[in-house]
Order: sequence, then structure tokens, then C-alpha cells
Amino acid sequence: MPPASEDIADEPPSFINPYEILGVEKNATADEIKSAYRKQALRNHPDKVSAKDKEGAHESFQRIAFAYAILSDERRRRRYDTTGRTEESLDLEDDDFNWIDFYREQWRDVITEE
Amino acid sequence: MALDSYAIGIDLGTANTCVGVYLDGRVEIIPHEGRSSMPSYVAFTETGRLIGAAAKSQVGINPKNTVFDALRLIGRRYSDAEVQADMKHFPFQVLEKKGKPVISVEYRGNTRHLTPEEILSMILSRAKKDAEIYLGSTIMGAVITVPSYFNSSQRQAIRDAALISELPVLLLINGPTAACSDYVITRRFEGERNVLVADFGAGTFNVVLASFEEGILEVKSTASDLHLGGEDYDNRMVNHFVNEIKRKTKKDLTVNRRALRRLRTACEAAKCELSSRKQTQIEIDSLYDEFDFTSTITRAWFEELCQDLFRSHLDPVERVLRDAKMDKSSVHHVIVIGGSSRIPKLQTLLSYYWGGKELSKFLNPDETVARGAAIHAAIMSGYNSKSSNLDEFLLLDVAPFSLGIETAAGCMTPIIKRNSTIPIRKSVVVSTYEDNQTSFLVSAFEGERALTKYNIPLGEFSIQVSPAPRGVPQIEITFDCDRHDNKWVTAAERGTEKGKIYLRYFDRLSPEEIERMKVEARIYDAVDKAEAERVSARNALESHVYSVKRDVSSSDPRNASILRVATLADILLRWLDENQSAQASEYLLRLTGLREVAASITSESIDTDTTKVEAVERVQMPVQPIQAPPSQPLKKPPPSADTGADANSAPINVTFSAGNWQKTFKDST
Repeated sequence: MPPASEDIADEPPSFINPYEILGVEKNATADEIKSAYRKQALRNHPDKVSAKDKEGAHESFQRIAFAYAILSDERRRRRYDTTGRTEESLDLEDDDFNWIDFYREQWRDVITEE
Repeated sequence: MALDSYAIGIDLGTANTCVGVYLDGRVEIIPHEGRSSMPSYVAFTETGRLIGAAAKSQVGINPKNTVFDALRLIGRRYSDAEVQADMKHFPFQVLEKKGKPVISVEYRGNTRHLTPEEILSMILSRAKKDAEIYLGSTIMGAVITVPSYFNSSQRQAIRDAALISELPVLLLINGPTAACSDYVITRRFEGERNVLVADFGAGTFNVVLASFEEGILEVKSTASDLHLGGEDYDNRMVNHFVNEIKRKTKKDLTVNRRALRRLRTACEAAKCELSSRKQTQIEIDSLYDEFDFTSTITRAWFEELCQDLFRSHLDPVERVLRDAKMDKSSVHHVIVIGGSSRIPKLQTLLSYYWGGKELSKFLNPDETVARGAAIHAAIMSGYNSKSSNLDEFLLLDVAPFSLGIETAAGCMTPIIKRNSTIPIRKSVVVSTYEDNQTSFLVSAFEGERALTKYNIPLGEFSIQVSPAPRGVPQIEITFDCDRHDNKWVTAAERGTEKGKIYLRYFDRLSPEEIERMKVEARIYDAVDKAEAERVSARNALESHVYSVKRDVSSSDPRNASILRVATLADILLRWLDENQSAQASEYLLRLTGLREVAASITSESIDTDTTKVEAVERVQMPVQPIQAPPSQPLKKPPPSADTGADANSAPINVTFSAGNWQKTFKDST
């Protein structure tokens, strides 16, 4: 279904509110988030909808997966909570040995002190 | 619950193909000629084509035209090391055509070059036909399993094979993932369960780690070793005996290919026996120069020979755990499937790795993949009956390979990492690496190697960028991957028009080639059907001649008309003997004549009945010299296909029971 993603691509993921998408409270626990993700996935995955809804499901599942990717990652969830940022570009650099590693080290110290 | 049309699951294997269907809350395996699986063999003969068990059983007399292991060739290039290595073992001929391997066979007196896609399409269409006959219904589509290491090119080739056989693909899934689905569905687990499936194949070893909770089976990670399997153990044993023979007789067996092949077959059998026995004998009469080879091998010695190979099975196991960030203690079930899962040492090895944990063995490791595929077929076709527990089941599958772009100096920069849950969409922002660059080339690749030249190219395009110092333009690249592993990439400088392409492997069959193969597939089917009708017409005539002979032998031999019928029967018998391969119409003509003559006698009609005399003359009339049916160049349906329709107007209906098949044939055109 090549034309499917034509429209999706136009909306930057940064406007997404992951809590709203998964339908959980701001203070939801990790287990609640996981469970909400599963329930949403079961309803919205392209395998589970009729043929005419598959294109829409493709889009909504990607959104749900994206929201879950943020909220299931402690560090990314915190970043979203404090800055509202959801970009993946920062996340990608995690694998590189650069100042972000250093920054994360610093941050970890701060967390343990609390 | 009867449906108009069913979705089936097909475990398309290198050696065997197994088909399942989900009916009323459970999976049934569809038989192929009375067996639970079909050998993945296609044979070509003077008269036609054989698929499955019939093809495998005649491999000894027709080795050059019996094709197997097509799955090992599909989606590969002729120059691939794997193809070159496999070719050495194949009794059939593999040639190069446009850089891809094609198989050369003799079919009805003509040489034909067939792509691996065409061979597999024949196996798929036979699987579909078996299912149609078993279910008495049409097949709407199939979930097909593939080895988990298959790349985009190989997966696309499987889809193309299905296109040729006119079987819609509902989904392609990895074999071990299907087995895992079968396991969790059959066991109906409560609470979180982490399941590891180890698939011991003939040539490869594949591992999948998945987590199951609240009806969702989430694949966490997959790993493979592409050169570790049953055939490697065979090789070790072969080398062992080659050395033994060299030591004892000073003969080098490696120069004698036939002897080596016979030794390999014996070793494979010995390996299988050692799974249930502590020691076994190898005996090969006149292995070479009238030398009879006899030797004994114990299980312990075999395990010693393969010790390092066995141990390397733990590497992919450790890799999946690492990739999933999971500790081995959190794995609840370890499932072993595939032929080599029967080797006791491999079972204990895995068991010890988990501190003596008992492995979960399926009742039937040969069927579980097809069962899993059938479950997914039911889900994909929307057949979620209330009584089943499939309504609340969902598989979250992953991308089998990383997807990325080429960056400076031919480096691979992954954007969607392997083992990411699909569907997925991911964007990155990159920039130029030269001052005043006006265009930016996006080259997409698939694979895990650090340099793109070792990965698989999926497509490329370039976009315009406004000239600026390097590193200033912001180019957003987005990868979009859907449920079926279809991939698109879009790229644009921030605030400008997007460029977009659908990613697919460059070497796919063209739509024209697929159309042509589809037409040819129909012709192969028509020829097969005509051949079946011909054989059936021949049998009908032969059995009628014998029955007439039986009848007249108990009648008065002095009666002139009875004598005439007896003579006619003898003439026909001799004719049958001399004309084994006449056309269906020729058999039917004689059958009609004989019936007319015989009928006129049994009804005690008068001798001088003119119609009867005519009929006798017609039957006795020598037909033009009979030759084998002319082999058809595959351009038009052969004339003998039309005689099938004539057969319907004959006194008895000798049309082969192809009614059901005929119907679906029309449906699918």
C-alpha cells in the first residue's frame, strides 16, 4: 500500500502526547504503561482490523509504538516530562561515544543523590 | 463451521513443505498423498511434470530433471558463494541468466530454463490444490513461513513465486516465530512468559526470543548462524571416514565424487541413528574398486567430532538474550525444533546452559511451523470465531534486518535497527559534508555490516538542497516500514518538498516476467491435466477390453458376433500394447466403438444391424501411425487439452476428478 504513508509523513512526531495516545495518567507505573500499550496494540494493529481500515491502523500503530518507545524508556520519559521533547535524533546518538554519554553519567549521579 | 474460502498456513521448507488450516478452534494438517508433508521436489519427464511425493520417488531414475533445494537458490545471485557451493552437490544443472541462477531441465523433449521462483510456485500451487481438495473449497490466501535469515531479496522472491502460482500472500513470517505462536496458543498461558525457540535446520541455526502476556506475543530478538546445521555434522563424519580409509588403505576418496556422495548419504543416516542408539554401523558395498567399506561409529565419538560445532550453538542463544537485554534466568520455556533438535547432545547442551532446565518439546516438531502459520492465516483472513482464542491474540513481529543509509566514506548508518517492532516509522536529521552541495544522495541499505558495500542495496534517489556551508542544511530522512516489511524512505531539506521512494531490491522479477510465468504455469497445469486425462482414458479402454474378454469367454464361441467381439478385443489389446502414449481422443474413439459393438450383442440384436457393422469397421480402422504426443513448445495450450471436453460427450465420463480444480482455475483467472 505505497500511498499509505504519504500523509503520515507530514506530521512531525514531536507534537505527539504519548500519555494521551496510550490513555494513561502522567504518573502511571511502568506496568500500567506496558498494559495500556498491549491493549492499544490489540485494537489498532493492522493484523486485527478489517481490510479497509488497514492503512489507518498502520498509522495509528506507529503512533502507539512511538508513544510506548518514549514512555517505556525511563530516561526518554523523563526528558519528555521536563522538556516535552520526543525527537529520536537525540536517542540515536546514544550509541556513539560522545558528550551525551558524559552527560548521562552526570545525570545518573544526580538521580542517585535524590 | 464451513467457509466459502479458507486461508491456509504453509511451511515452505527446503526439504519438505507442510500445510495447515485452522478449523473450529484447532489446526489440521492437510495431507499430501496420505502423508503429513510434501517433499519440496518438482520433476520433469518425457510426458509431463510431477510435484511432491511423486517427484521425489522417481529421483533415482531421473536425477537430472528432478529439482529440489530451490529454497537455497531463491533470491540469490548466481555468483553468491552459497549458490556456487550448492551447485557442486546438485544432480541437476544450474545456469546463469541475467546474473541469477536458473535450473535447466528436459521437459517433454525440450530444454527449459526455470527460475527458482517458478519451481517454488509449482510447490505452492500443489499445496494450494491439496488444500482445495481436502477442504472442498477455494483458498483465499496463505501465510507462508520463511527462514528467519532471509533478506528482502529472498522474501520478495517468495512473494513473486506466490504471485506466479496465483496464491495471495497474507503474510510472510519467520519459521521459529510461527512455532512460537503455535506453542503459546496451544498452551493458553496466563501471566508473562518468555519463550526461546531454537530451530536446528539442515544448514542454519536460528533463534527467536519472544515474550507472551495478555494475548500479545512480542518478538524481542532473533539471531542466526548461517553456517551451522545438520549438514556440517555430516561433513565432520565424512572427513573422519575419509581419513580412516586413507590410513587403512592408502586410498584418497576425495577424488571419487560418486563414492564421496555415497559415503555422505551413509553418514547422514548414521547421524540420525545415533540420536536413538549408542553406536551404529556404516556399510557400503563396493565403495570404490570393489572395496566394501564397513565401520562402526559410537555416539560418543560423533559428539567428540562435532564438539566445537555443538558448542557454537550457544553463541546465537547468547546473542538473542543480549539483544533483548534479558537474563537467561528469565526465560520460562526453551523450545527446540528442526531435524537436529533430536540430537541428544544438543538437547543436553541447551539444558545445561539453563542449569538443567527441561526443554519444551513439541509432540511433532515437523508440523509446528505449519500449525503456527495456519493460526496466523486464520487471524489475517479475519476468521476469528468466538469459540477460538485468536480474537485476543496478536503477534508483534520485528524487522529482521537493520535499515539505514550510506553516509560519508561508505559507512552504514542504521536508522531502523534490527529487532524493532513493525510497523515502525523513524526519522533522522542529517546534513551535507561538503560546502555548497546542491544535491544530496539518499542510498538505502539493509544489513548489519558497518560498510554499505557488504549490505544489500534497496534503492537510492537524490534531492535538491540549497547551497550552504557544509553541516548547515538540515535534511530530514524518514524510514517507514509496514506490517509486511514493505519499506519507504522520504527525504527533504527542512521546509521543502519531499522526495520519496518505495524500497525494493533491485533484482526482482519484472511484472512482465511474472505475467509470462503465470501464463506458463497455467500451461504446465493444462498439460498435466491433459496427461492425467490421457492416462485415465487409456485405463478406461484397457479395463473395458478385459471386461469384454471376460464376458465373451463365458459365451458360445461359435456365435459369429461374439467371435467378432472377441477378435476385436484381442486387436485392441495388441494396439494398446503398441500404443502406450497415444492421445486421449484415440483411446476414447476405440472405447466408444467397443462399447457400441458389445452393447449390440448383449441386447441380442440382429447380426446385420448396419450401425454395428459400421462401428466395428470404425474400431478396426487402422489409425495413422501413432507417435508420442508432440511435445508442446510452451506457446499455446496443447490440442490434447481440448480433448478433455470431448471426453465429456463420450458414453462414459473419463474426465479426471478435476472439477473442483477447474472451478478454482477459472476463479483465479
